[in-house]
Amino acid sequence: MKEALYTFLLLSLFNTVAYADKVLVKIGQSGQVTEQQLEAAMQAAPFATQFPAMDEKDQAYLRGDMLLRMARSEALYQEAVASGKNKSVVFQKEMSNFKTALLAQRYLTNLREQLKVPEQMDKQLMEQTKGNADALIAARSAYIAKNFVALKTLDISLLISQAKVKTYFERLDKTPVTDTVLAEGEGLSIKYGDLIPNNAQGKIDKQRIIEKVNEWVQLILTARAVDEKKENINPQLQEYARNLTTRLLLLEKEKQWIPNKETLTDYFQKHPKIAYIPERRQIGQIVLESQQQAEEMQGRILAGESLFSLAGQYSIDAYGRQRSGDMGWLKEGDASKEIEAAIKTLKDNELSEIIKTDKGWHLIVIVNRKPAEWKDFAAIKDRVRQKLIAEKMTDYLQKVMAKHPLEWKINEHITL
Amino acid sequence: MHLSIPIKKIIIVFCLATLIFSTNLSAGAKPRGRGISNAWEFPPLILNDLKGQQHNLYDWHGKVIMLNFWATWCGPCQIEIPDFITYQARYADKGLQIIGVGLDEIRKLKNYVRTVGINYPILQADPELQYALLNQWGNPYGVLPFTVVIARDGHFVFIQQGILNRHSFDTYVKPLLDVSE
Repeated sequence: MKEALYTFLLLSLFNTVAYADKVLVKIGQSGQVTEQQLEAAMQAAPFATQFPAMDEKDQAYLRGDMLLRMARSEALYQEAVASGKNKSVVFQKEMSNFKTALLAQRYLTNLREQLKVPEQMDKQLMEQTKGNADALIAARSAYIAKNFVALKTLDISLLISQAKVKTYFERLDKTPVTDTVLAEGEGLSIKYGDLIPNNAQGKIDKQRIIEKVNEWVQLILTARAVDEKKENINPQLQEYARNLTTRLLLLEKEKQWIPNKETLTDYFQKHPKIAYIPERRQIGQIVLESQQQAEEMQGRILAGESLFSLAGQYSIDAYGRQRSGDMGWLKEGDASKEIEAAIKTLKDNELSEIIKTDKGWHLIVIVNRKPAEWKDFAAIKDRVRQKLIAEKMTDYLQKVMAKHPLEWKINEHITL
Repeated sequence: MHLSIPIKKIIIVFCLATLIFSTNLSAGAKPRGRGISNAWEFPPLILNDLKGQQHNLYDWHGKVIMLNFWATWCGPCQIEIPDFITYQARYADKGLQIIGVGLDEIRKLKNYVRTVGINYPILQADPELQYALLNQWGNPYGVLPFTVVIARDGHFVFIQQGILNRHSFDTYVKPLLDVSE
């Protein structure tokens, strides 16, 4: 299977032609990942800018890895739907908030698009920026931005007066309850309970609540002023709903896995190695192509020449040569076992013996080191949490995948 | 992983944030070279392509040349390259010749060309020469991307530090081509 995946990935690497939206894998009853979805994910990935310069094999690996992740996340989504996460009250409420915010954003975008730099002004700007295209773009944006603020303020105050919005912030001075109305207008009512969860305790931050109410009044009014039919918000809503559905499932799982702090401390007791940070060493290295050459370099370094300048000229390791032998900070255990063994007792700034590996003959110096240490629980609490979740997640994913199995469609493409 | 002084980072910062400017050369500034306003009066630019074959920029004289300096690690370079590919495909027979000079490792440049499908020649220059080379062509801070537009007779028309946008292409390059659009 893996081989087929690889072959396919190699074949299909970045054809810049538009992708026909082929299904690459089916998941469970109704899930799938298509070629276009995979491409979109690849271009949004954190490695997207490095990707084009990578070797074919690395690119294929990343694509394959991404495809697997997408298939897994689709399986999780299916599971979340099966357990009704997209029907829950929390889901409904958050979706409604998201929709309001999205429409409000569209309103502002539309408002901004109404603004144009007047022709006369544009001519002036062109003259001022004399063929400097970037400066012209910046000058135009500055003009629009300045006028946008004024337009927005005017527009929103108009909406507020049209809806006859009244606020009752003085009610915050007494003891507000869930049903205390803080703002009211035509078809609009914001209650204390909309902003503050039922079980919230402690002192009220009045200023903060006032800001929130005003923000919500704006959001609701502007969202309402948008012609929803003209705005194609469905794709964004659907994407958000999908992510939210899965997120709610995972939140629930996390609560099951880690019901209290004791779960974490127990796990930490059982896996004390999590707290171990190995020694880190800043390493200088020159790699040579023969024992004889290594001996010659060893002689020159011991006689006073710099390992680093020699590495910059003679090292056969391209990475090392480019960096004049400065290999940076490496953790104990990162290097090959021959090297680890040879430098175990090496003192700082002392030249190692000649070390033979399958890459060549190495001479190494440790320039600096940060000692190994054991952290305490408080310092690595998050790491313990991540480890525990990762462990539980692996098992859980297996169950989910068994329930919503993958059906690869890749073979079909290889024959094309 | 390594500690070497992050010159690359400094360049990236330039590359992303500052000093991005373009100059219409009829309005004043020129590439260096003490008042030289013609590319063919410069010391010849001789570099190897990615197969190791040597080229002289002068080989393309008589065409409208967009000489684009870039590197695979440079984000803004990646933004403009797809446009360049489109220009080259569309205007090759109207006299346009884009030449990329990759200040990067050959392997990375080859991967990049293969992945993105660059349809114009890419020459390679040692990244160590970045400052010297760019300085010579009128880019004293070594900002990437950097593009020099050279007219058919060799004279400099336009230089751009930072992304060369479509507006600039339409304004400064297109009028030099055999197009009546």
